[in-house]
Amino acid sequence: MSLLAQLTINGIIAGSIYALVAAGFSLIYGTNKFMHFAHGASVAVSGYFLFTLFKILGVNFYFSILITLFFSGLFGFLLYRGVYLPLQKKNASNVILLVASIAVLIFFENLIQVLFGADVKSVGFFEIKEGINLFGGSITEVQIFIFGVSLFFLISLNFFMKKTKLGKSMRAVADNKELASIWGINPRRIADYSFILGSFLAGIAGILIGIEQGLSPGMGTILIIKGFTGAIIGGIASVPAAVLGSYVLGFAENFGVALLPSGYKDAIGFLILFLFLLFKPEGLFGIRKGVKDV
Amino acid sequence: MGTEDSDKEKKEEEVKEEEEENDEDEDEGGGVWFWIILFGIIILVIAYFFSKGAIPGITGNVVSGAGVVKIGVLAPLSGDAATYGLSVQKGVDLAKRDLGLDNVELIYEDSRCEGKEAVTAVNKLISVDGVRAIIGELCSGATLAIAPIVENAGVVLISPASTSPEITNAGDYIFRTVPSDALQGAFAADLVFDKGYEELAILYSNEDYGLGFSNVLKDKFEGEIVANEAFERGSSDLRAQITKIKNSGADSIFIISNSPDSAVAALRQIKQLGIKVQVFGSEGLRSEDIVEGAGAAAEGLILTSVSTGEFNFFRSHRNEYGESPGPFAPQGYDALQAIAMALENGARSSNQIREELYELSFDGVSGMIDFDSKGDVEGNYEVYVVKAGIFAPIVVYEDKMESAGESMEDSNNFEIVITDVGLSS
Repeated sequence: MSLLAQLTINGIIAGSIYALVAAGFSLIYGTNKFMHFAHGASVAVSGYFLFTLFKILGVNFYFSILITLFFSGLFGFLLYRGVYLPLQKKNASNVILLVASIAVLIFFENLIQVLFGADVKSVGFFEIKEGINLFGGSITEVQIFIFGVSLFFLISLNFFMKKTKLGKSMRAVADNKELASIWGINPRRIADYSFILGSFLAGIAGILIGIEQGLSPGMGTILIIKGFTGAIIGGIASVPAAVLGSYVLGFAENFGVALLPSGYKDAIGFLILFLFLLFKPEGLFGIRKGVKDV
Repeated sequence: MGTEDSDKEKKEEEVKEEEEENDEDEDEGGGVWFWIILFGIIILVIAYFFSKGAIPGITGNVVSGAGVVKIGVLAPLSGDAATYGLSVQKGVDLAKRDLGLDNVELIYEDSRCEGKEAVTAVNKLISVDGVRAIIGELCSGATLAIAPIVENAGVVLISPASTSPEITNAGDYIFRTVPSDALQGAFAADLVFDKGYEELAILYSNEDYGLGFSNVLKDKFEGEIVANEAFERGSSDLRAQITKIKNSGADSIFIISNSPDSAVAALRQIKQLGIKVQVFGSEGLRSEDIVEGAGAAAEGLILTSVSTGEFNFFRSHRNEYGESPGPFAPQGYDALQAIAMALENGARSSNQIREELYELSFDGVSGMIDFDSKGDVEGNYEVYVVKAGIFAPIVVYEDKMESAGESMEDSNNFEIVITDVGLSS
């Protein structure tokens, strides 16, 4: 049935984008234990950085992507060193860090508007065309590419977290910061790496969204709300759980409007968020107490 | 965490730092400030170079002398509707310059097209700045939110862009230089039906503007409305709604949006989902940004639009800003012109301005401005089709209404008159 196929495809596309945002967000949350809402700014800034290189300066497209990815990591690192670390040194509570992150998000939203204007920008490397038929639903090559890329990076991330020394250190810090430092892991270095890696994922999200949907100054705020919701649904402290939660959100939104009037699309997402915060705050795939299976 | 703990942690860190590479030392001293300052400087430098000349100067920040009248302008200057706000700002500034209004001081406030922001801003304009009249807001929802406030304060409000039918009865002090969607909705319904489409799907933005327009369209359309889907203003994933429309078997789609982000997303996703029916749009889609953003997906889009301004205005705007007038710029121009004429006729207090406005009748750049007893204007609509990335005007024959009933085959009674109006720059 074509409606079912199309809704599934829509859910996958939306979920892939949410997942990329949620993965970086929950990676940073896991190691640092505060809400980095400015993660949305990392996504938007990366998208606009690509736009500047490719569209304004005329740099080769693939080279632009490479530089953008490098830049997005650097951007996250600078955010941590420039905003969060100084606050942490003053023993700022996590609530203060959260407020600071919202301030950074708003700051960059407005900075982007001053620099680029309020209108929608399109990276426009790929032509907008009709999708190919897949089980009666329609999906474009770019969208398949997005799904592929997000799947690739999310699996790589999982592998990285489980098999490499740095990944294991990150999970150790996420589990218990004090214990990890006793074992010779420097939490601040891990925080650096988590911001670099998380923002790198945000960079990928920014690039893919720039190609698929176009860029606007407010995109960071909208995306971080979705990414945050996805992460809560799955289980915020665990990256794979946040990813799965994002797909759940994508499917729920798209299938929900098949039954309800479509004006409720965002309401469905928030309703689920609310229910989870109320009844299952650890998320679908999170574990309530004790050691998390990150 | 107590100081003891953090001291302990610090010690532990120091030990580890010796073991690892010694690249963390800078943090203990002025390293943090170095990063902050470097970051700040980079951003300021970028902002400076980009914004040089890129942003139109905000006028009117001079000290008001005797006889200077303060006029507030309330528009979305940031947020996703800023495209419209900045466009109106250009129109209003141009009117001030063209008409030599040295006795008028314009005070801009950003309302982001949101009710609560608009309420804060309008309170500031009324009680802090003491404005006599306000031009704004653009989005119908925000205008309706501030209507009771200006009504209570007895300050004149002229909206250059809010088209919701609700605004007609919003109050005695509420005017607008743009016609109500009660008219545009009916015009659009006839246009779609006359083109030979009978099964229409409506895709509208879920707030006052979208609701008002879609309700009129639904009532007046003579064919069948097969789908009526809403989306949140500013949302850029409309696949779910469009999938439902695709499934409804509609032979035409009408997009009602006052968010460029959503309009671009809708056009792109309609194409991506392989829907090949004729797409129509409300005047909120008549923005070059949208055509640029949607690219090939915007080709063939037919729009109804409020007046885009007469030729002298067009030329003056191009000379001043080097670009064609954006959406609602002529309506913004006329709003200030109306206030200026009221002032010229001797009105000084808000009440006098209101009384003068009801008496006014002049040929503005957006058409005839003659407020009726509800503060509304009549208006003509224009029809555009997107061809090769530009808006090509279509002339609708006057006798369209009569001929519509006679023969459905003859429904193609449109003619493209001007395809090149010197837009190439």
